Amino acid sequence: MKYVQISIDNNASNFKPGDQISGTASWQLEESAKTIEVRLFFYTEGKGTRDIEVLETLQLDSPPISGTQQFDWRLPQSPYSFSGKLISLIWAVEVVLLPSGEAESFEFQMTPTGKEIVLGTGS
Amino acid sequence: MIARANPFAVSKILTIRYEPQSTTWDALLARLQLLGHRAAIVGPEGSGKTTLLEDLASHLSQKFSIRWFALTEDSPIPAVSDIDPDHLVMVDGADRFGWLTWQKLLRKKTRGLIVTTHTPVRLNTLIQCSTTPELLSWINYKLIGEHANEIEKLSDRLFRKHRGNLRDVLRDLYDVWAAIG
Repeated sequence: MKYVQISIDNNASNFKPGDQISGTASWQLEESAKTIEVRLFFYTEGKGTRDIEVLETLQLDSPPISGTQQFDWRLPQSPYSFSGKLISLIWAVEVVLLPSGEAESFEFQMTPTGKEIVLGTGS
Repeated sequence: MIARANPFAVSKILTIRYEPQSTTWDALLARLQLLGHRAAIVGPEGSGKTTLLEDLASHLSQKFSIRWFALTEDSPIPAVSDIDPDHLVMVDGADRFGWLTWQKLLRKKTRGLIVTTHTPVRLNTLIQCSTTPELLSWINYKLIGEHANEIEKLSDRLFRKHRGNLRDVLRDLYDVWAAIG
């Protein structure tokens, strides 16, 4: 059965700046991909054009049709995860098959408290 | 309602892919092949040209190496001489090309050239993109399910206000949803 997935160690989804984020990307494909990339990135979500910044990338050229790839990255000090009415900033790890672009991602929160800052609520 | 929960947020809209209105994907791809993969996708702002070009890239990327150019007001015009002949070239926003660049691009031998423009150009038109209130309703239904019925009149009004530009209509609906959510 075909699958592409990301798992984060200890099922963690709340991180603080400077924390380590580690886990495993795994896949079982029906056709081989040219490249598989595992990425740590953040992006904006909302009304306007999405901004994306990729901080870390693990690139596997000519990957096996079935496999796993571990990752272990240190998170930066900023930006924090937040949401307002117009924009959210979201952190994620994703595994992407190229050239098809098929992807699976895992979203997490990174703030000093580990919880998303919601603008306008004081939380 | 926070931005990431808004059903009209850009990432949610981007999950809705091009749906041919008066043709099929097979017919489109067959016509494109007949045209030697040299064609234009023509239509006004917000009519789905970029979405269609992206979806064509996805279809064709198994067979071709794609060289993608997205031309905006801020982006530099690409140097045609730098384009690899073995690439299929896709240009989103080819209206920005001047006469000379068009000349060079049309003469350049590549595996294909597919562009989006607002008006017909010196390439065969693959498809003329257009929108309808029914298409907007279908998109709304994809985004918010049965709630689409509740905003049908508002959607029709916004469709007329923006002269069928679905991008602008969906931006307005984002604000509406943010206010009531």
